[in-house]
This record gives sequence, structure tokens and C-alpha cells, in this order.
Amino acid sequence: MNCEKIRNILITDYVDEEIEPDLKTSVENHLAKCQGCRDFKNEVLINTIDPFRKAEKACVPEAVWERIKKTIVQEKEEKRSPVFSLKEKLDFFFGSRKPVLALTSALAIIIIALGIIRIPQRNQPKVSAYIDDQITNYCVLEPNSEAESCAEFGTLIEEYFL
Amino acid sequence: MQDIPIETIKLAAKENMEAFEKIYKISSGFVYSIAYRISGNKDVAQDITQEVFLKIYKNLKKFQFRSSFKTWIYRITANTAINASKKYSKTIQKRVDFDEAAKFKAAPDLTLREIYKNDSKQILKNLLQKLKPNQRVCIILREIEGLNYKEIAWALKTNINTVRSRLKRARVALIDLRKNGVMTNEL
Repeated sequence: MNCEKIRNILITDYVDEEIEPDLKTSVENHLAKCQGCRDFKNEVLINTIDPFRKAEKACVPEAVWERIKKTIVQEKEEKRSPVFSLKEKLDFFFGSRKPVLALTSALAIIIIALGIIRIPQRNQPKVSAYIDDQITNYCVLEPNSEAESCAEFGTLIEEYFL
Repeated sequence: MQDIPIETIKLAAKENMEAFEKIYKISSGFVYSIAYRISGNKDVAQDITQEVFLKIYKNLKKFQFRSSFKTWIYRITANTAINASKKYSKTIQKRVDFDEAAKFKAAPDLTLREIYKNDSKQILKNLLQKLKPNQRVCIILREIEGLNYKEIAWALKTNINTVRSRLKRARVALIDLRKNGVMTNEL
């Protein structure tokens, strides 16, 4: 292993004792022969490990617990009020529960789409009646055309050949 | 942190204040410590601690013992502290600068060596503030709280290689700071 790889291991797994035993042995064998890597190891320990070993634990001021307790009690009292419960329901529907709103919107779109598709079908009887009227009018306007063939929807050409 | 009995956690999940207070007494020390190290400000650290415990209180019912309770608290603390630190960073920097200026105006004759020797707490604080937030939190969890790579990865919702990479970058940055002579109370 070259010095670069050794130093990468020294600055992470080695100083943090996250290293496999076999790899640790290889690193220490290299350190025994390489002054540069030994100096690097000391640099890492002095600058990045030792300063934190002297770190004091910070103490929590007592007032923090009092504030937490007060907030919890206040929120419990708020939840009991009817205004809050209504607000919570509205939040549930519009805000915090997006899937409900999405599902409702999707259903609304489907219903509207079905309504649009069905509209032409409702209008079909009117359209059929209009076509019938036009055909009848056509037959009346053409005196040579036989009313029977018009009514039967047969053509003069077919009758000629038959 | 000493282990918290499962019965205490279950009672606290049912909004039992005595049980929740026990949890607070056992874990508030390290929560505040992390909050303070990440934010660099005691007032902000108190706000973060309060926010963390309110989140714990509200989410205890959802905790299903799939991970250790301690690392669950670490996760909430780290996320809350990083978010709060970013939010307050500009305000904090102005306040720290003012405090530093006021403090050291009275002692102009202290040498660099004396400053470093006599005020290691401040040195440590300055060191941490020079790091990026994600590197800072990794160093704190590793060096001050003693978490291993797996625990840090779980607390920060990332993988072990990312933790290793952040620790390496943080330590390289700290070595460079020392070489450039920034191990002081510079503004």
C-alpha cells in the first residue's frame, strides 16, 4: 500500500478504531518504516482528536424543562377547544392529508369527464330526427323519386339492376 | 447516556409527564451539548433543545423500537440543530463578532500562544464554526458523543461512506486551519 492510501485510512478508520484487524496490522507495519506517515498520524491526533477529548459537556439550564412543560400543557388545552378541533379538521382535509384531497379531486375530474362523454349520446335522438326530416324533405323536393324507395332507403340504381 | 427502560418510553408515549421527565433528565445533556456545538450559541441551543423534546413528545407514539432509542434522539437532534443553525447563522455571526470584539478589546497584550493555552473552550468553538454544517455534525457525533460510523450514518440518514468522507474532509480542514494559524479567537 502506498502512503496516500495509508494516510486516507489513518485520518478515518484508523483513528476512529473502525478498522479491520488485518488492515490495522498492515498500516502499523507501514508506519514502522515510514517517518512521513508517522508524522501525519501525529498531526491528525494533535489537531483533530485531542482538542475534542478536552471538550466539556455543556449543562442544560433548568428553565428549558419549565418551558417544555408549559408548552405541552398549553397545547393540550388548545386541543380541547372546539375552535381548534374545527381548525384541525380543516387542516386534515386541505393541508396535512394531501392524498384525501388528491383522491377527491381525481373523483371529481372522472365524474365531470363521464358527464362530458355522455352529452353527445343524449343528443342523438334529436340528430336522428333531423336527418329523417331532411330525407323526407329531399324526397318531396324530387318529384321523380319514388316515395316508397325513399322510405325504404333503397336506391334507384339498385332497383334498375334488380 | 444511560439506557432508558422500555416501560418508561411506553408510558411517556401515553403522555405520562413523569415518564417523559425521566427521559428528559437522562438525555437532555447530550441533546443540549450537540445543539450548542452545532449552533455555537447558548440561546439558540436552548431553543433547539426545547424543539427537540417537543418533537420527541409528539412522536413517541410512532417510535417502534426498530432502532435504539438513543440513536432516534440523535437523529431528531442533529436534523433540528442543523436546520436551526442555518436559520440563525447570519444573526449568530453578528452577535459572536460583537462579543468577541468586546471581550478581546480588554486584553490586547495576550499572545497567540496564551490565547490558545488559556481559552481552549473558545478555540474548540471557533474550530467547529469554521467547518461546514454537515462536517461539523459528524465531528461532534464522533468525537464528543462517541458514536460509531454506523450510528452516525443512521442518525444523519446517510450511508457509512458519506460519514467517512465528511469526517475526512472535516479533519483535513482542521489541519489546514492549524497550519494557517487560525487556531485562535480571530473574528
